[in-house]
Amino acid sequence: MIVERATGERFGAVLGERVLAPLGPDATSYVTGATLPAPYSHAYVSSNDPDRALFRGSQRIDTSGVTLGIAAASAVVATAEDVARFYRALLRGELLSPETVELMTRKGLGLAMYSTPCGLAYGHDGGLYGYVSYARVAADGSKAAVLLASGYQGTGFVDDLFCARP
Amino acid sequence: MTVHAERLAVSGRGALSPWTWLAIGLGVSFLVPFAFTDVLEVPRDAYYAIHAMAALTLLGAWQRTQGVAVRAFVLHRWRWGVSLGLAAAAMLALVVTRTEDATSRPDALELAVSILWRGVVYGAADGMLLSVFPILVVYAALEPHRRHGPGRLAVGAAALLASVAFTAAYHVGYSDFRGEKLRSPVAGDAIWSAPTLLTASPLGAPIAHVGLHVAAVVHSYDTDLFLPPHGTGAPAAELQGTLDGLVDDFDVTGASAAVLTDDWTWMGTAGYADLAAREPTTVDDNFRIASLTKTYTAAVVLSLTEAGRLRLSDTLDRWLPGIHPRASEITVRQLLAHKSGIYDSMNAAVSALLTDAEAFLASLPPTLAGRVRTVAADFRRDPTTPVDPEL
Repeated sequence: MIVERATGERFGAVLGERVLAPLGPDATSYVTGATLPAPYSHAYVSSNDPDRALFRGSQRIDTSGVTLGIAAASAVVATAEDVARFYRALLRGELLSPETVELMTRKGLGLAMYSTPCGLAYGHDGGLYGYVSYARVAADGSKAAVLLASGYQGTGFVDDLFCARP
Repeated sequence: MTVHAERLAVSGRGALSPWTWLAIGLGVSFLVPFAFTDVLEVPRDAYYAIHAMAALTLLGAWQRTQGVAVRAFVLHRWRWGVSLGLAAAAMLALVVTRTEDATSRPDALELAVSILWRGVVYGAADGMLLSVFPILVVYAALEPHRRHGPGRLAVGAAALLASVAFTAAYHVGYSDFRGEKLRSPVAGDAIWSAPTLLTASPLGAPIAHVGLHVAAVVHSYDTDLFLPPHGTGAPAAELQGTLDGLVDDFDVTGASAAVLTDDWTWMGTAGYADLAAREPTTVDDNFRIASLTKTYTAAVVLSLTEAGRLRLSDTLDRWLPGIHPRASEITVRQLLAHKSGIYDSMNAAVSALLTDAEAFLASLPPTLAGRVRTVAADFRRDPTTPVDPEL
């Protein structure tokens, strides 16, 4: 909202122009509505999931169309590869100046710090109505690992991804 | 007279030539890390015991052939060795703090043990194997040439070269150093070898190396540059199996994963994009990336701050007057620093509530609207704490 006031444009448009365009061809989009751009993965919530507080008593239901409160904190829709390309470009200083990237890592602006079995990583975790997401990127952007899933597991696997060798 | 006779006796027993010793040393340097970390995957701290034993055995075996008492060997020009060792240790500690990000470290007792084991013992073993052994073997072999200026310089260069070769061979024994990354230890060798190189004291280089390791343990415990071996995970070929396991063993219906590095790329999927239609997940499938969006949002906001259109110190009030009772206290920086982690459906709901409260609440079933109102009330009291993920 602040971004929209400051630029006079919709947030999705600013994101496209300032962050996604420099990444090159990319299927990433900003979706606050119920319809995800095809092809997309559905997500399912079942009655034994942590989000059960919101979906009490239901069996496994398709939640990919749920839009409760999705906004600038959670509305990006993308493939695992595009997300990994974004994190790599960001840490390599291709989107913002090195000083700004340092500010992000040092102050935790949009990036959290993770201790992986093979050293320090930055990134973020996410979870929303049956979708879970994990991103890990090396401090110098030399590698990025991303896991996007429908379900409630994956913390350990993103470490496997990040630390894998060829 | 007796010393002289002993020397002759030792070398007369068909002792190995210095070049054979160097070849054995190079072999040990490479094989110990390769066999015990790469092939056998011995746990890190146990591996250090093997490494320290190998370094001590090698240096001890060679030293016995020199016909000099251990005490005399260790104390040779020890004041110079210790002084220069301490100076190099300080310089290496500075390099560690300058080049590596500070990482979290364990509690007091574990840290103390690590300083002793990974810092002092492992550092001293590295110093003996990578510097003391190659340098002193070269010096002993070329002793007659060290008596005059130019010859002394040439022998010093040869000794440095030997030490660099040991450092390279040793690091190549670790899987993650086979590539660009090898440059750092090879460059570092000049600093950590200098104290022994300049004084021929076997104390100098180990002291310098201990400084490097202690600094790494204290400043950068989770480093992936110092203190190898670093956990290097499974080969990428095994990732697909693990990903399939996620879908089989856990409540994951579909997953897509990507690893992009400077040198290689891996992508894999498992499970179904659409359970009802039995459509398998593919790498082209879009997912809601949920809170990873926060990194994108931060990038957008910071690109606007770089362009001078927004400041991190701007308050919420400046752009959205009246949005929140404390809008004049909350800054853009604080909003971006929110780290709510996983399962933040309710957080998203709360931020939406701030956006368009009434329309949003009207769209919810009454019981859910009630929960959201409760959470929002908590959030209003202290917007800097994330919403309880257990909600």
